[in-house]
Order: sequence, then C-alpha cells, then structure tokens
Amino acid sequence: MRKTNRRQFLRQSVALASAGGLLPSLMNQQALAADTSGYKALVCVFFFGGIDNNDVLIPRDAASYGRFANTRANLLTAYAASATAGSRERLDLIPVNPLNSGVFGGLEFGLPEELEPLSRLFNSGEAAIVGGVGPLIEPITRTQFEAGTGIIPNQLFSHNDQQSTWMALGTEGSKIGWGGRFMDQISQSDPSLRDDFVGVTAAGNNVFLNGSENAVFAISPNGPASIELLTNRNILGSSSDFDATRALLEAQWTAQAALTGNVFADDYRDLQAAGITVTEQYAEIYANRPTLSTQLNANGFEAQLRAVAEMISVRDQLNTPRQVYFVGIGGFDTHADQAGRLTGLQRTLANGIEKFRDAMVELGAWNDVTLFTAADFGRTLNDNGDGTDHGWGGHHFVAGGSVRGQRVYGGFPDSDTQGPNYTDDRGRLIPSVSVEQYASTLGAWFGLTPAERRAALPNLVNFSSDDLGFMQL
Amino acid sequence: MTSGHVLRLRSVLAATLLSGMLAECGGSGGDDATLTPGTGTPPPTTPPPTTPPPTVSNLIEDAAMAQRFLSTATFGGTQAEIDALVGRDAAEWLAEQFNESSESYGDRIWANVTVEPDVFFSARLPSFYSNDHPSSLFWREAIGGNDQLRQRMLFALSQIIVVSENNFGRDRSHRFAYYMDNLYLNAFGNYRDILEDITYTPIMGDWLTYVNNRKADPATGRLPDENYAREILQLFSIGLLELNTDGTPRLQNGQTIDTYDNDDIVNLARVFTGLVYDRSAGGQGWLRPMIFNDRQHSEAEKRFLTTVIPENTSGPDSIRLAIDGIFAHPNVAPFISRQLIQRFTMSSPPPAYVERVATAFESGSYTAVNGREFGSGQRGDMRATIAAMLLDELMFAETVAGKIKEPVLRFAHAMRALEIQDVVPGNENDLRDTSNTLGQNPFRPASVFNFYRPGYVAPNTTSGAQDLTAPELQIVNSTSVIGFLNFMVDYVFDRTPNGGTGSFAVDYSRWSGIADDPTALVTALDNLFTGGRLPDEAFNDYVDIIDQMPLRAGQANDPIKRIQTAIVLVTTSTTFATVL
Repeated sequence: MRKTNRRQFLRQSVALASAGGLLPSLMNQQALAADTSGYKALVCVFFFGGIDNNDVLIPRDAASYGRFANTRANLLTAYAASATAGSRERLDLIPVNPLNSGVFGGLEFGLPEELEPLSRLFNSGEAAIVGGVGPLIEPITRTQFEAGTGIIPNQLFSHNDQQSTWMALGTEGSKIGWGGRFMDQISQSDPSLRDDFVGVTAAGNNVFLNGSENAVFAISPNGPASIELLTNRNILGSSSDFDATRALLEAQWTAQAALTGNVFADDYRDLQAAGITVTEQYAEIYANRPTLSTQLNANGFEAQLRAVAEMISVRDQLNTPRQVYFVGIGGFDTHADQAGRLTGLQRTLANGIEKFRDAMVELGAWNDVTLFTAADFGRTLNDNGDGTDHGWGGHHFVAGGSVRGQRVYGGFPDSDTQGPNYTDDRGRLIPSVSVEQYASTLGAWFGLTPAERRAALPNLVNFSSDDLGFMQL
Repeated sequence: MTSGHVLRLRSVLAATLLSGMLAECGGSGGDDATLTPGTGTPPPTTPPPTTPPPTVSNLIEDAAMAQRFLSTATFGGTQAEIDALVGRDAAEWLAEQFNESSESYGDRIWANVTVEPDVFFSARLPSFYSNDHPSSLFWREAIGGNDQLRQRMLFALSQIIVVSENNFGRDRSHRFAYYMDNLYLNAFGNYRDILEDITYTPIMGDWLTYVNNRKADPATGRLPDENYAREILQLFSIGLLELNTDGTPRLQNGQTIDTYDNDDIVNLARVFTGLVYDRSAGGQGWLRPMIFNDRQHSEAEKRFLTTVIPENTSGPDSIRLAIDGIFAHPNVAPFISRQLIQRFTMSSPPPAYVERVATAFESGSYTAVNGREFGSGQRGDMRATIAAMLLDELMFAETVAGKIKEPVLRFAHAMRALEIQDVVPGNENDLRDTSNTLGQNPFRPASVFNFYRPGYVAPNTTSGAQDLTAPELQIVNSTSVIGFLNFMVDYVFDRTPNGGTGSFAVDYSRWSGIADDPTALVTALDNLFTGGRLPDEAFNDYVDIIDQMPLRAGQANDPIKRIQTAIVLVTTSTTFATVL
C-alpha cells in the first residue's frame, strides 16, 4: 500500500509527456504544483486533554478582567491558595502588547507567569497567538447553535473525537490527517521525495500524520533503537561462527517475510519489516548527527522535542525537503485541581518550546521550522469548583523564524458567558477561526498552492479567508 | 449507604481486610458464592430473544484446536494444557474456569503485609510497594495463575473501564487493588453491578475527578464537574451513537443518531455530586466505597436519556436510578459485547457474531451445543456473554480473521508456554514499567481512552483498505516493533537484570534432545506457540537458520543457543502476533 506505484506512475507520466510532446501543458501544471524548494518543517505540539484557553490568554484591562473573574471565582480562589501556581491577579499577568492591538479596541491581554518563555518569543516577534481556533464546518453563531440550525462538527466535547477532528477534520475513525494530506500534496509535486521520513511522530501513532500515500516514522527520545541480538555480539557469541546467524536473522526481520494469508498477520508483518528497515536506515544517518549544545531534557515532553531537533539536525541527509512532525503532552483535562495540574504543564510546555527554539537557532533552521499548538478543545470559562470542563474553541501559539509574530490573530471573546461567543452559559467558546483556516495558513507557508490547500481542507471554501496572515510568505 | 450492590462488595472487601490483615490469608474473598446475583434492571415485560441454538460442535478435536482455544480464553496454553484439552468439549473447560477459585488482589497485597493495620495505613512502605505494585501482581497471575479466564476478563475489563496506574504512586497499591477487585470479583457477575460498584470506588472518583464534586452554587456560578457523567456514558456503557444489536450504528435518513447531547451531560453530572472518601476508618477508607456528604449532593431534578430523577432524591438513590437508566439503554449489550470480543477473539468481529454475543448479554443465558447452560437469566450476565463469545461457531470454524494479540498477551503467552520457573515479577527490573520496552504495560494506558481505540483502522494497510478495525495496530510502529523484539530476546536469552534471584528462568533441557534436529525443534515450537500455523516459507526459513548454527565440540551452550534462537524466531513471528 506504499506510494511506490503512484510515484512510478508519475515518473512514467513525465517520461511519456516528454516523449509525446505534451511538455508545455505539463509544465503549466508544474507551475501550479507545490513549492518544494529548500527545506521546511511543521511541528505540531498537541495538548492532549484540552488546554484551558481561559488560562492561556487572559483579559487584562480592568473591565474585561472583572467579568472574567466573576465567572470563575472559585477557580481564582484556588489559584490564590495554591503554593505552586503563579498569580492570576490582573496586574500580575504578563502584559501582551501586540503590534496589532488596534483591532482589539480597548481590550488588553495578559499571559500567566508560567508562560513567560512564550511571552519572550512573542515580544521578539518569533511567536504569534491565534485566538478562538476550533473545528468548524462553517461560521456559526450562538443563535444558530441553540436553534440547531447551521452545521457543526460531530461529537463536540468528546475527547477522542475532537482530537481526531483537529487532526483529521472528522471524528474518530477518520483515516487521513491534514498533516498527511499536506505531505500527499507535496509528494505528488515532487516524485523524487523520499517518503520514509516525511511524517514523523515522537508521540506514538496519530491520525494527524496519516496520508493516503506516505508511511509514518516513529522516533524515540533515546534515538533509533537497534536490534540487540544483532548489534550486541555477546548475546549469541562474539565468535564469527555466529555471524551467518546474525545475517540470516536480520534478513528474516527486514524482509517481507512469508505471507500467512491472514490479513492481520500480514499487516503486522509489513509494519514490522518496514519499521525495522527504516529505523536501520535512520540509525546510519543519526550516527553522524552534530552535537547540540542546547540541552533538552532526556525525559518527557522535552525529550520528544529533542528527538525532533536531532532529526532536523540531519535534515540535509534525509532527502526530504518537507517534513511534518508530531509531539504531544498529556494531562490538560483539568476537571479538578487545575491550579496544581495545569500550571506545572504550562511551565513544561513553555520551557520546552523555548529550548526547542534555541536548538533550531543553533542549527540555523529556525526560519525553516514552524511550531504550532493544537488541543482536543478549549475549556469552560465557568468553573466547577477547582477545575473546568470540556469546551470548544481555544487560543494557540505559532512559533518560528518565519512567523509574523508579536500579533494576536483570530478573535478574542468577551467573558460574558451569556453573550454571543459561547454555546451555553458554562462558557464553551464558539470558534471564530476554523482549524482549517489555521492549517491553510501554515500550508501556504509550507508551499501548497491555494488549490492544494482546498483539496486538503474540504471546508475551507466556507470561510472568507484561507490565510490568516500569521506566516511570512 | 442504601445500595445493596455497594454494600455487598464492601462486605466482601471488609471481610478480606480483617482476615487478610490479622489472620492467615485464606483466599476466601471473591468467590461468586459470596456474591448475591445482580438485581439490576427489572426484567423486560416481553422475554428477550435468546441466542439461536448453536450447531457447530465445541469438541476440541486436536492439539491445533486446543492451542487456538487456549489462546483466546487464557493467556496462552502450556503443552500439558494443550494436550489435556484434546478430546474434551470447550464448554466443560469453560464451566470449570467459572468455578476456579480466586483470590482478590486485596488479599494478595495483605498477604505480604506483616505490620499492624494502623502502621500499614499511616506509614509509607516504599520497598514493599515498589516490588509488589498491582501490575506486578497481575503479571504473576497472568503468567502463573490457575484462574486464567478470570484474569483475562480482568485485563479486558480494565481496557473498557479504564483507570491508569500511572496516575497513582506505587505507595497506593491497596487503592488500586480495590479498583482491580471491582473488576476481578465481578468478572463473572453482572455488568450492571460492575457499573455501580466502580462508580463508588475511591480511585475512580479521583481518576475522573468526581470525588468532592459539589452541587451548583448560584452565588459563584459554579456548576458540577461533568467528567464522570461524560465518560461513563461514552466509554463504560453506551457510546456516542445508537447501535443495532449487531453493533453497527442505527441510521435515520442515512444519518447516525447521537445517544445523548450536552444537556444530558449537564443533568447527569448532578448525580455524581456529594461523593467523598469514607474517612471514618482512616486509611482503610481507600478500600471502601465512597460515601455521601448529603449537603453537597444536588437536590435538583436530573433528567437524561429516558430517565427522570425527581428533585430532592438522595445521593445513593440517584446513583442507583442513574445506573438503572444507563444500563437499560439497548446500546449496552452490543457496545460492551463488541469490545469484549475484540479483547478475546477478533479484532474486527463481523456484525452477526456481535449480535449473537449481545443477544446472550440481553437474555443473560447461553446454552452450548453439548447442553451445558451458562448464565443466571439476568440481563448483563457475564458468564452467558463470555460463553457465547468463546464458544461461538466462528471460533470453531476452520479459519478466522482472528485477533492481533496486544504485547501484554504475547509476552504472557510466551512466558506461560515456556513454563518459566519462579514467577516473581517484583524481582524483575524489566517488568517495573514495560510501556516503552514491551510497548504496553497492563493497567497503565495513557488515558481513559485506553491503549488504543476499538474503532481504530490502520492507515495504508490491507486491513484498513477493507475497513477492518484493528485496535492493536494503533500501538505498532517503527519504535515499538523493535522494542518488542528486544524484550523477547532479553527474556529468552536470560538477560534481564533480576538481582541474581533466578526468577523467570526457563528450563531449556526440554528441547536439548532435538537441538541437533532443526526440523523437530521448529516443529515442537511451532505446535506449542502457534498451534502449527507457521506458513511453510517461514517454517523452512527458521529450520535453515537453526541448521547453520554451530554445534561445536566442547561448547555446551551451542545447543541452548539454537533453542533460544528458535524461540525468539517463533515468538516474534507474525503468526504468534495473532490468534488465527
């Protein structure tokens, strides 16, 4: 099921076209195909569980903050009582001073102190905030939502379905993610592209990277694993008498071994053989990687980012001009003890992203890498005592050397839960910007043509803009 | 407390505590004889349909059939178990397993406790806990226990009603064991009891954040936590879409139908307010159902699905009525049956198979071909459901698409078939956390959504092109396949750091007489691990690889290396990765 056939088909098409004098029309098509020059990578950072948007970007002018504080009084009390959480008092919030503050009138924003590293990136123009992003089929109002008119995504507020919808524009069971769709478009435009390393996950299998043509490669924080029975000569015996055995075992595990005739066994066989083969190929490249002086932790979230940074450090040897990466961090489903749980996660994510930026700058790759955040959903503005419940839209960060930073894009809601920004009085934010617009803006930078973006993002045509402007093109 | 179910389970565990702490551990807890039958939903007014009488015999004709059956119903058969099953009816084996004695996980922990209760509950005992945390105890029973079907059921239920041990320090073994016992002791009981009992467990209250959940407060605008309300519906009972009895979505004008909307969640959330830990018995409250702080239980009406709980209904009554209402939903039978099938026998069961099992769940009874009857006749009976699942005609057909074995099943199966000696997981550093090595640690999925999703379809695969669900492939990738291979090599070549205790040792002398006959060696291992299902090409490759391995004069380990290499080949084969 790999893309080989299609690639061969494309190569044959080119050959036929040249021979048959059809070159002009084909060149016309090429001009409309994706730009695959240079190197670019997208890095999706997924906040599993659904990060509380109301604790990411907080209103900081006195009037807005007053309404905000009224709707989550219990939670703010819990923050004030917490020994570890940073203050959520209005004047303790880190001021966010966007270059485009004019479009927000008198509205002022702040970030919690846990996100200070991200405020540094924002102020240096290396990061932007996109407000009110979420899955949408078409723009929708509260009136329409309450009346049941207008089309909304299925299974709002369900974790797994909204993870899938963010990643793949459909509920669980969707097979193709928009990261994978982007790479499908790239592959079609550049048949010479090596497909083994185009979609790379450091956080296990996720539908975001699945394309209709490309396999997904999983990297480990510890670097590419080796098969110990083959590499550790002490196990079978250091004597050369076992060299033939080792060679035969390797062939057995990397070959497309015997078919059983059973669909599951044969699928497992393919995944095992391909996984081992590609890992061995990556291990050869990885062995010659440069040493990073930026220190990313060997555990947890930073270790995932480190594995991504290490792969990007050998990008010139991957024969892959475009890559999409996936990293993830869990624990954001803060129904309870949000002051204790979320604040620790915020420090982890903000420090990790800043260190990843440092590594990219060190590698000279920051202008070619764009990191963006995503999550199941935002959370209720109204609290449940010491936590928050499932919402819809949320605020997200985009960081990279090619970001038009220090600006807030999208929308930022008022804190009146009875107002037009929310589905109901618990304060579940109706997105003002669709995930597909967010994706399309990234896709434009990545090199996709408008037509390719429309092909990858089927609801994009329902929105007035296919480019939110947060990327330098 | 007014709920009979909860009192019942609490009584079992309270007795366990007394006998286990102060007297010799007698393994008394958990036998179904001490459990009263479920008294869940009143029987429907019209008798439910019964599963059509099966016609395909459950007679185990040969060793290959025996090996396959044991791969579905246990953590894998030993050679002796395979041989003993040949010529028997699987229904009789099943009846024996339903009556196999069991020992609660609480008891297993108390058996190792040598201090007085006050000390136990006031002090942290890290050395004890670090070695005998619950998943470690589970490994011991999965590999060495006799109540194999009940242990398989515990593992299956733990993947439907999920709590992750990751979230709880290992100094909380007793709390986690109490959750496990709710699944383990109820494994052959009634699903309604499981739902109600699990709702009261302190660790679920903590995991899904409804312990200390307070009623709405108009003054501050606070509303109840919706977490448990949402997940008990979406994951533990009915799912998101209305289903036919065969597990396929019901359609209306070509569209699926949601089972509930957000108003149902907001209302059901009121039911799960007011629950608090039972602190009346100190730390022993962790081993008891949560109790109510009546002042924090919502007095408001609770209206969800087709249930209306009137204003001013007490907490225990609200939960009882809510569980009744949820359990009465027709989705429960197909929703739970399909997931059980996926954990035992088929990754992508055909709808007709789901319907047969769901019908047994509905009727609460199942009669095998040989006349053996299973189940109490109560809707939700797990014995009837399990019997319908394991004795189904599909499982006795010539070939079946079968199931991909998750890594825990593969490893436990390998250890059982190898008949390892001294099963002391607590001595095994490699079993402390197998999430990133084996690729799965029992009871430690990343979230309440388990290790993988029941609806997962693997991209760019043949099964995916056929729209077959393959949950277990969700955790197969380039990193995990190598991790599993290395994990097996570590155990087969005895490279696990176990402090020289010798646990998990394999006696390879079983095969030393045929180490110089590669065909005989691979045949023996093929029969043991796959029921002789290796494809000819793989079989011949393995024979060739073993055949060229040296047997040098004076090198006593050379025959053992042949045996070990052959075992690694068979246990990392794609045939062993599946139940066919």
